Amino acid sequence: MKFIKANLKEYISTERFKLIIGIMFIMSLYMVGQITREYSYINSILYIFNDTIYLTITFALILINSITTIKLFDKDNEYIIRCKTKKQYLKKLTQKIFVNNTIVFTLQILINILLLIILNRNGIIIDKIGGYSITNLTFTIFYLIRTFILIQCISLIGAFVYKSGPKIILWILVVCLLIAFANAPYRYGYVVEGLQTVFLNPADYLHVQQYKDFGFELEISFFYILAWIIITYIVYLITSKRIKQIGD
Amino acid sequence: MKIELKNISKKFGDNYILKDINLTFEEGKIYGLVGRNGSGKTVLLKLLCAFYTPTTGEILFDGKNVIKNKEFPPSTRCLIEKPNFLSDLTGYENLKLLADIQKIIGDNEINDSLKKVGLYEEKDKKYHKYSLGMKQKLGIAQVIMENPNIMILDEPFNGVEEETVNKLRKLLIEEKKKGKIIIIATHIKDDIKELADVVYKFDNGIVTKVDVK
Repeated sequence: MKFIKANLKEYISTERFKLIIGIMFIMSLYMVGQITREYSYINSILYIFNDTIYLTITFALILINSITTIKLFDKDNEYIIRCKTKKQYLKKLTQKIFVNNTIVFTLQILINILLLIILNRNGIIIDKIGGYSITNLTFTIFYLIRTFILIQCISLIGAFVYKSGPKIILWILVVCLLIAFANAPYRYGYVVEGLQTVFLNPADYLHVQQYKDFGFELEISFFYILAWIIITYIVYLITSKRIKQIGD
Repeated sequence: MKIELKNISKKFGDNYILKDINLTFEEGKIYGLVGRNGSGKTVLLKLLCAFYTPTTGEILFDGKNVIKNKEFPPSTRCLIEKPNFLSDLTGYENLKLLADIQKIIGDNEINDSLKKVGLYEEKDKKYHKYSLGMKQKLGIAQVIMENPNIMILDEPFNGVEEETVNKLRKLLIEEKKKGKIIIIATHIKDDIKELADVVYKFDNGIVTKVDVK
């Protein structure tokens, strides 16, 4: 526990981490400023995370966070030389990226909640969410977990590509994702009724969309996320065979 | 233990840092690597640690190509550039953290290594309170603590006071006598004079053997 704490303290004291949190704070401040008085804290969180620009910047910051983690860990020659294989090194690196991204994502939610409490003071109003027979709280928890897993998978894939391939591939990936984000706005009035109408673009799963019922959304999201986890694992396996360089 | 470098080249972009290097490192010897900044010494050390992959050629550890097998070299420890310890842990805790990766040593060996580098009295001080020389000594302690066969050191005595440098040089000579391969990149002529059995000079990607004695 002491070692984990010391590791985290080392990480959060880096300039890059402070910059990431600073940008997140400014973004949240702007978004909270846009929210009208009718929104409760829970609905406000959904509103903030559904903004395309906010989502795109969040994704970019988490990707930067992943690459910062790689750069920091790669300086740790004393640790790395004690790994027996590059696979062991990659496993440790993946754990670090996952933990550091979790910290950033959690802090992002906390910053939003804090700013909502300070600036909006609308209270936690637990209510039915439109079209579903569940509360807005249950849906928001589900939505944040889905967003968290998807962003983790995509940023891990980005990190693995950064680690194993030419940097141009990472840039191509980033451009593709930005196009995907820009092409997935909230589709007002669109209801996902069956398998033929489900989305393939990951950005559509980072937005709130109406499904025929919550059970169906849960089911589709489960299989979609499972597919991303499998893709991430495949990229991880390829990377463990392709790593050529550790550090600059 | 023997390390063989066969036709090793390394380039970054279009720039060759090392060109067609053939070297052998044998046990019971200290090798000194000399050359100006950017001459490729650190790149060679990183190739030996498998942090870099050669552009051409192969590196064999007792005949085994570990880099090709995506492994790190066996029984090898290094101190390259500045050590990367956690500032909020003590010197001892930092070594313990590293020792726990392979779990081949316990507290006694950690304390022994701290005594050997003259840092035992300071072992419970937080790392961020260490001087530059103390940090470097802790870096050397992590290299020797698990009794590795190969020790790779890049400017190991940076910032260390003269009296301690002499003590550390003696320590490395003792390790050599135990049959270790010790490879040191250094700018300090006295290190070469007092430690090195074999010296390699790096210049424009070419490595030549220098007569020291």
